[in-house]
Amino acid sequence: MRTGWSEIARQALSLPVLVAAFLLVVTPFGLYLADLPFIANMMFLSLMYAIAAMAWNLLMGYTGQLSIGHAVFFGVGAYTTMILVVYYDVTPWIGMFVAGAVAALVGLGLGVPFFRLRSHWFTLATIAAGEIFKLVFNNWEYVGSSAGLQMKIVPEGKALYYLQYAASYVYIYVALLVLAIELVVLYRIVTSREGFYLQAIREDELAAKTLGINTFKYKMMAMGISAFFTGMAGALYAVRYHFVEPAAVFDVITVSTYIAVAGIIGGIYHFAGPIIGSFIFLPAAEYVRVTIVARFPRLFGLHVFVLGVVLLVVSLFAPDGILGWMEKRGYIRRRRVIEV
Amino acid sequence: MAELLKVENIEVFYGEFQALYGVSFHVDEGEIVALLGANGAGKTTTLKTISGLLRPRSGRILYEGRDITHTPPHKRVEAGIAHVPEGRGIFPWLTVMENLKAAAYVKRARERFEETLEFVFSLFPILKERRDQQAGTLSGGEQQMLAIARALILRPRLLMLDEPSLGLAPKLAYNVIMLTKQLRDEGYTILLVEQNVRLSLKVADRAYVLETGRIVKEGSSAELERDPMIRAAYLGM
Repeated sequence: MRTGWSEIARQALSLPVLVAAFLLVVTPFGLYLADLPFIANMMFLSLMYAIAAMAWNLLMGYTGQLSIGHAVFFGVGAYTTMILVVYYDVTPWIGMFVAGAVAALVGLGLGVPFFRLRSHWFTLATIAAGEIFKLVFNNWEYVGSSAGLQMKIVPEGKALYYLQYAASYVYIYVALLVLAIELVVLYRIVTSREGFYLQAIREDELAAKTLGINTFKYKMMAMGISAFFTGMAGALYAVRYHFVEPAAVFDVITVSTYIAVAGIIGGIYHFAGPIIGSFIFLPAAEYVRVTIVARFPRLFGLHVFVLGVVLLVVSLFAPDGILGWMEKRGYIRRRRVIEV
Repeated sequence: MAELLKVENIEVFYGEFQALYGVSFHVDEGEIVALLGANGAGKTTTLKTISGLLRPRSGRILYEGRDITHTPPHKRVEAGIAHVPEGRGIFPWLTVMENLKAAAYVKRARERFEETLEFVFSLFPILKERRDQQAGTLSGGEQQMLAIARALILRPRLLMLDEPSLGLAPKLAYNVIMLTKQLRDEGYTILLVEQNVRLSLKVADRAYVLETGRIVKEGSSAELERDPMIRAAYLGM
């Protein structure tokens, strides 16, 4: 049975969730008043990666399929939004959802061959997919090849239609909206019968098959939904930074790996783990990138090394992520959401 | 008795390696049939082919008279074939109850879940006691019971057990294999794969002996128990 709307509303109205939501809604405005654009950008990035990492975790934490290729969906989402607005004058408000749909189609297309592969072979295929998409977009003239696509000059008074604002706090609210939609959708899935089958596949795919579960169908479902919201995260990137290029949106480190690392640091076996992970990892990554690159400009790339060390430490001391660690220490309890 | 399952001349490969050479046998309704043989003889491969986890390169599998050679695994479960895989395949992080619920996926199982659950708990009262315990914390014997219980939730006509006595103490192994007799009396048809030849011949009506991918002997349990080659190779007499 699906979790009913009233049950979702009841859980959504619990105190910690309300406090978090209140902070998320109030903080951007506070950042605007205090004029802290750097912090505001950190917050936007955290939300954008939270959306992607939550989507990624439907495949990883719930279904047991590790993807290091989510840049494919992120990039496709970013490009779809950009192509629609630049070539066809379609507002990003619609473009974002089209971006999700196109990314989902790509996800389903990749799922057919990739789900013939298991465990690390699947992962390797996703890495390859990311690189292939980068190559293709680098050489595809329609989308501007390696130079990418730039948002056009927006006529006066049409800022809302084109979603083009100078201040980044506006985008934080758009990202919050997307995240809210995503959380409702994902929560309904993972608490439903379908979510239970995903977890059965994660635990033991062969056993799931012998119980009559069509494992391919459910993995495809997870892939489609995961790709959809990752595509929307890419769409947010496109509108926020007014510019997409293959090297940025299809990057195996700053997109595919960051998404995975955010999820792992937060805790893949907790529903909200990827959000927590994003809000810790992305600000840290941004801070390290800006300070280290500023101080040692000739050692560009050193920040990635520092982040690698951070990941190593987390994997050593909190292998189940921050929420997993808190659960082990008894600070929080994992809600058993399985109800069949 | 009506023929429930018929395996015709199946050849199964893992890549280039051939695991089964023209294996043929049949299981009649209401029988316990044992598939015996040493490690690597192809017993597990045969079961996996019947449940659809492996595809034969040639040959046919008939179930209730229909050709199911190209039917996907989940459809076969719907048709009433349940497979308890070797090593049990329970979900260790889920509770006993959740493991049982996981099997209530196919329609035939879901519709009569409560009723079947009651029957399963009457067979395995210990599982009822431990219904909210994580399955991974059960003993080996209890885990095997859970795996069989979970297969029963599917309301199968044909129950295939892959090495149910594996890793169990002799007394528990005895209990698990004797259980198949009880299940047959309840109306299930059973295909039992075992290395424990002596015990299996005690419960089975008929048996087939596999050696390196070929069926080398077949007959009623009584006949096989008397067979000098079986006595020497498998019963140590």
